[in-house]
Amino acid sequence: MSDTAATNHAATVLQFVNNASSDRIPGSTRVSPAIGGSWRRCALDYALDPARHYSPTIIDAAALAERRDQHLELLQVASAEIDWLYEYIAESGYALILTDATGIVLYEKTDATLANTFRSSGLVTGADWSERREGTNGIGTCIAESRPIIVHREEHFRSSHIGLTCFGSPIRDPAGALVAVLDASTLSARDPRGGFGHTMALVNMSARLIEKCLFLHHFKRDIVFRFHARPEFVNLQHDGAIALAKDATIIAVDETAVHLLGAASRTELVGRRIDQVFDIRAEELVEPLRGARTELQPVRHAQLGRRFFASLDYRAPVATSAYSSASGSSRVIRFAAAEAPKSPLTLEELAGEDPLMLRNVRSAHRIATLRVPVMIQGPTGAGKEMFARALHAASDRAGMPFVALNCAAIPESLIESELFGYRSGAFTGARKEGMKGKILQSSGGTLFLDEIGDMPVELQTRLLRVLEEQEVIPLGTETALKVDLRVICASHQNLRAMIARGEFREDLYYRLNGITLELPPLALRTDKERLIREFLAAETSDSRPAAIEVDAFQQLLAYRWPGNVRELRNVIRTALAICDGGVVRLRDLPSEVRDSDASSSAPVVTGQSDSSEREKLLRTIRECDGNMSRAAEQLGVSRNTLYRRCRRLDIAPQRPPGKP
Amino acid sequence: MSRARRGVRLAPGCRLDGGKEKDGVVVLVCPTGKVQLNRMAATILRLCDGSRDRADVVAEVVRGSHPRTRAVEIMEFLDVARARGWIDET
Repeated sequence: MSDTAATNHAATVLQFVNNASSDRIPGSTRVSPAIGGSWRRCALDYALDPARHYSPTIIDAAALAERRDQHLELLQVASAEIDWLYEYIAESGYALILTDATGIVLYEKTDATLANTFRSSGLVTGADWSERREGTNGIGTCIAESRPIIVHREEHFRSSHIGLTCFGSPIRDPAGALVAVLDASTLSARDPRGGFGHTMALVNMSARLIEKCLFLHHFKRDIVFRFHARPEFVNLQHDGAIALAKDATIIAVDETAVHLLGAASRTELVGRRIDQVFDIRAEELVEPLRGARTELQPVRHAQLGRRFFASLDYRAPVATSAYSSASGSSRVIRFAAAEAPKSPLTLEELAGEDPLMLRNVRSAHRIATLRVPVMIQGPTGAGKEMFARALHAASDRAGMPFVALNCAAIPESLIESELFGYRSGAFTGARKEGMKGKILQSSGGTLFLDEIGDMPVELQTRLLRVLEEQEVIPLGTETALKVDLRVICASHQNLRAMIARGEFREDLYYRLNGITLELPPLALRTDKERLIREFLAAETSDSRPAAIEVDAFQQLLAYRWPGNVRELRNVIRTALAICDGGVVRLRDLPSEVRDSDASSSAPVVTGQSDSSEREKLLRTIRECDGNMSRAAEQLGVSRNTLYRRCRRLDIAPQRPPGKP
Repeated sequence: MSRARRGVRLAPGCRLDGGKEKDGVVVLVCPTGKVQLNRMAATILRLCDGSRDRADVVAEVVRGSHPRTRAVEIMEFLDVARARGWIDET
């Protein structure tokens, strides 16, 4: 910028500040109250000179390290989010900056081509961007105003910053206090309401996400009630979060919850009991949520009657005995009773009346107290983890940890450290104190490895060694630690086929496969009618009228249910919440259920049932040593039918041994 | 205008079925199809025998049920029941 422009800007600012009665600058441009107020603070309170070139104030390394230590949790969450956001808006000439509540930059990510320019403006880690130092700016003014703010070019107080456009969004702690600012700054935004708007929206979203993470982390030992008017938003960043004490008293709410509930402020909600805010019935809170705690349930605002969907997150193992005597209200006691640590559905509850499930449960009980490794096979959504949890709960290890790792859900590169753990400083970026791996965490309890087929082959070798030696060597150490392992693994893939292709170690397969339990998909369960009726009753607790018209009922039965029992239950719950007068009609069902072809309901022939039918045929044929006549007899079909099915399911014709 | 008592009753051709088995499933059979009811819905429809008006039905259900039962939900149910042709108000 030219010196003239700088001088002119400084003069304009001072003229405005000195004319206390005007909200306009010469030339009659209106200055927003926030900017005008900030200018007056800078000139009158902080005695800054808009024309002067100050060098950036940067705190020393030790002081910075101390501040970063104070904000470890924030940094961990925010730096990941900023890195993501940076990728998203990369090469658009932005610097992304995280500061603490005093305006000290804790973390920044800058477009490499502009790094030097930003640096000379003082946008570096450790720099102080409070108003007191840098005058009006997106960070300092955001802190002063305690709300999101954009400071565009000439709205900056100091002439040296008028090339910048900054947008700062506050990040608050669970009590509502500003703890940090997330800021995006650019040198190229000529039009602040143009392309920059998109970036502002993203920065705001990221700030909300960081806030939500901080909130959930802060209350990780408490019950967190999450809700939104739209079911699909619950448990995402836009939902409202309410942290509850053991007696259902609200201990904290986030900004979104305040907004969704139309409350004036947090204080209006904190200290009340959740059942004074929502028409929560204790039994609805407790019963349907046993086992799967993230299911949604409809709730109403107790005063306004507005409908929301909510989920409850009980991560806190709560001892119920001490507390139930303290409270004296039966509802609260039952509320707390559901918080028993991870009390999953029992094996029997999972089984229902389905013959295959009942057989699984019998087998499961027989081996529940043995250290036999269990392999659970079933399609995605069949409820493999729920079954594993039930198995754990039925075993003599029930009081010990159940530790789950989904090999398909995390990047391959992380499986190793997640599983084996690492020593402090094993690699850059690792947590200071090191991390105890899942294997070690599960010692004495149960280690559940979901989607074991996705485990990289090198790690299969290491896992095999752990299973054989019953000891683990964390990354970066040489000392083996003794463990007492019981492994349950699960896969939807055909591991035998993977072995044939060399993708899964055969020795590991046998080591893991003490017994195989096959879970049928919901589509193949024979007791769907009973499940639907039970859910209908459970979801209404019989305290609300509810009915379901026969065509809707038929459609629920006919639908192919690629998902699991939980999905069925969610569909019923949602239908009950959106239907008129408690009467579920066809139109209240989700479109995919509604539009599925009911006429094809009799023989369910889907990809999934194919594969499970195939397994069944193969098993029978194997059991009969390849004797097709005997297999056909056992299956209750003719030999021709059996051959036809084999052809359809691509099973090679078998010959009895000894008869080439 | 005098408010005549309007008795509410099941529509012609509609009847309640079941509820005796252990699973307690009650079905409303009507010319347009069957409707499976939960216990509360069955209770409400059983009271629709022509001897009560709508307000009586609501009051009686609320009296005899769960403390959290809301009158408005019963009225909404009755609205739908009438709209679907399950009950008549005469």
